[in-house]
Amino acid sequence: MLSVTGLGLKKSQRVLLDGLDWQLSSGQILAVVGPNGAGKSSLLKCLAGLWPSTSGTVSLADMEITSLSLTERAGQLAWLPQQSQVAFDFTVAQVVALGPQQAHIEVMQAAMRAFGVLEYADRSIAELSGGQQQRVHLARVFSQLNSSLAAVQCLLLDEPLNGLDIRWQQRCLAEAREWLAERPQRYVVMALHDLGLAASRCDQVLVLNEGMIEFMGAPEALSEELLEKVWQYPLTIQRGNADNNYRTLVYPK
Amino acid sequence: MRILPWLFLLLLVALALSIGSAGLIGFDSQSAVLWQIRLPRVLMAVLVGAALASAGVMLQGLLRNPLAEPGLLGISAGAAAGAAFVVLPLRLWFPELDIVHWLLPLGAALGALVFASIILLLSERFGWQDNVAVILCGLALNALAMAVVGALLVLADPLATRELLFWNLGSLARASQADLLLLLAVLAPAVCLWWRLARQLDLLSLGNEAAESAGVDTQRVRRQLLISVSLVAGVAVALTGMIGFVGLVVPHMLRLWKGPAHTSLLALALPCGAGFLLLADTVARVAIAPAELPIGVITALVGAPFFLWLIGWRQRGLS
Repeated sequence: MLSVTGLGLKKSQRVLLDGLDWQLSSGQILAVVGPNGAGKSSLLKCLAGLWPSTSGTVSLADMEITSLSLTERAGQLAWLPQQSQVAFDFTVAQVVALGPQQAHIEVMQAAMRAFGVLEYADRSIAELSGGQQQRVHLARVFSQLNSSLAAVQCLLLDEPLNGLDIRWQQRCLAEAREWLAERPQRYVVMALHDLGLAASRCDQVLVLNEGMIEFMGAPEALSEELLEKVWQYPLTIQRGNADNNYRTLVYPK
Repeated sequence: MRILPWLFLLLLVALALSIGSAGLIGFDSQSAVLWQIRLPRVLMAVLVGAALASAGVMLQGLLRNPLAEPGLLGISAGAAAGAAFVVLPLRLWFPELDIVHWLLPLGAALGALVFASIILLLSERFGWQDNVAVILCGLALNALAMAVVGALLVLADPLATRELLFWNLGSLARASQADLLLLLAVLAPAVCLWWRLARQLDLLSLGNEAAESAGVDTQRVRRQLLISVSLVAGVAVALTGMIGFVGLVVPHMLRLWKGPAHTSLLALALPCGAGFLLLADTVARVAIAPAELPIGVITALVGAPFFLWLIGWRQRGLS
């Protein structure tokens, strides 16, 4: 169980998160959605233990995140920042190798293949486009997950689909799902902007607004009224079964 | 491949030992010029070059900025100010005392440490995320330290002023055996520490938070590095004066050649920094023999245009 109790966060007098309470069962993907500035990234950083919360706790399998040492945390939680920038002219293969432990070469190559960056392995990451760079960072995080030394339980992805075209968006979600299914006691939390993807590909949806929870539950329970209230924009939800694939679309009225 | 730079350095050492203002000499075991004048100086060039280049590698990695250098961050200037603070009053009050020569490295190391601590405190106070702010703060401290040195020079007696001015230009000429041992005693443990931190610097190039999420204790790394770099730079400055560009050009060159992974950069910076400074010092000794050029002049004359060329080449390569 990944559980958040009374989580609050203040930075320079501004309330970023306010009294969050929720739980996520293992084997599930939680989509964190909300308007710009709702507190999605702040929540993910608190979950990763990078920002100490002002109040409340985050616990992973009954262990409080803040009680873990830095190395223990690095072994159990993997976090992909919203924007990854590499300071020097590293090659793609070198960036993928950056992590708490050096993953096995075959694991890294598999991750690079999964995100279609193996052919750029020896190129400087600075030469790639934004979306390609994001795929390199996804390969970096996933090769850490699959490293034999790591025992990552919780995968935190902050807007992982940024800059990805539709094919790689689907691939990223599929990879996360595959990792989740491999072993019990695993959790995925991702901040997303695409409400349709959040509703059709994730098990739980957390709607944040101004640092507070507006909704937490299965995507089927999302209502148009709620979305319109939170995003302050007229929105329509269309649900349907196409080829036995349950899909949800959210689009402007 | 790893051995090649060291072989090249050995060759340079042999070359530097055999030429000089006293002409070409062979390896004569009785030669006083060789063993008492050239050898200490050559070894000092090797140690200082290795120290400045490897300190530059670590500082650039820490600040994620290829422009960082002890000189730029005011650490070298802080060392100069610390040395001036110690030397000038003591020379004034105890003109005969030999101990001044020994207190100079201490004062310089203290000055460097104080300035590094100010940078550390300010950056922790204002949040480390903005490394440009750290570098600007270093520039400001640099100016402050130079002002302090300038003021002290005017106030001090002419003899001490001359001594300090000469020292400020940088020279490897006065290297003694004790100086060499002192620098080695500071540099060796620092390099061992840097070797252990090199991989963490690779992770730091992803940013502070990403590094932390990968288990890097960024605060500890930052403290250990700033303190060790300022000790090494402080002692190097104390013994040889301010020698610029080595800590900037050598790491940059190596990064373009071998990529930015810090373990290989550090391994290469030691022999290449040593070789670079040794070559510069040999030119300084030989170019207008029997007179000498200040070593800082050579490193800047070679370093600055080369640096500009590298930047141009790099820009072309990327576009």
